[in-house]
Amino acid sequence: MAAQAIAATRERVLVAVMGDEDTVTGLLLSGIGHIDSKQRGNFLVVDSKTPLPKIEETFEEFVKRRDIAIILINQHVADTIRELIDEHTAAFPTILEIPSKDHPYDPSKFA
Amino acid sequence: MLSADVNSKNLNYKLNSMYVDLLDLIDQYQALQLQIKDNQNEAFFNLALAKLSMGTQNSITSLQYDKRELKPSSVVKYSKNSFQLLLNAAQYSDDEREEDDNENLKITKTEDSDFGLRKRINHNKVYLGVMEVNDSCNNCSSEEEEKLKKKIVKEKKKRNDPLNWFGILISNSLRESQKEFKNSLSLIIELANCSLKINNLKEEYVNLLAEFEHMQLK
Repeated sequence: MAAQAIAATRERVLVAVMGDEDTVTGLLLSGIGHIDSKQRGNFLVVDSKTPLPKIEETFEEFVKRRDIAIILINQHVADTIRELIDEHTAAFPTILEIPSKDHPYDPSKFA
Repeated sequence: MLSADVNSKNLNYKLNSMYVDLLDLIDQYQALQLQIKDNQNEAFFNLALAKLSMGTQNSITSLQYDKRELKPSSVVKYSKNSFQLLLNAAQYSDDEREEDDNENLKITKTEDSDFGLRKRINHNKVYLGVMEVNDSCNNCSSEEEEKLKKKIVKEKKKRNDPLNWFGILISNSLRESQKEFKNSLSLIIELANCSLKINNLKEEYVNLLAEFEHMQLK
């Protein structure tokens, strides 16, 4: 059982990102981007036209995937799916809220 | 009775100590967030400069992302209760064909009619451009074939550098921005480790507090 858990964490190597275009572009430049043969990516650009169900669906997909270790999400995007984020209590994938260019980090929202 | 009192005091001491550690970790977390913000401000500034210098409004956008198969060069590894960032992770592959791709590289000869066309063979074989295959390869020695294979592997790695999505002449600002974002990624991994410690400590604290309260009720 413990060996299975260790093997499962070893599979988790990717860093996923959900945020505005500049944040996603920057983090892709740093080399975290991944698209598999089934065209599943580990990033989502969220802008004013992105529908909320799409953000929720992508977040849930990232959480279910076994190859994602960390999900980076801009704080203002996280606010739109706060309930889903609060429901996630597992250690993996680790969810981190990061600042964006237009929405600086707000420490009062640290939970 | 006395031992229960002593146990209770010990637990109380542990709880206080844990609480202080938790507050320290939260301070660390906030400090890291501010560092990331400062670092990213530099990175976003350079990105904006790059957009200006590269001429058009749409030169650096999500439309330029290469949405074919993409391999990450930066991955994380979880061991000993913390994440480690692996840069230049050339060994990462999400299927075994990546290794087979390089072992089974075949230099194919093109006919004259194929010259000038970019021939994309399926992803189990080699991607060859016009530059790699030419008439002189018709009589390639094994050494030359090896050199060509190495060149092709190098081209594939270059294809994986996201900087190449945004054109051939990349501005220095964009390169600087990439460096800053890579630094930012290291800070983000530290933040992830801090977050894991906070969650673990919080869980321990809650369990210990429950035990303490149970003891007090007795």
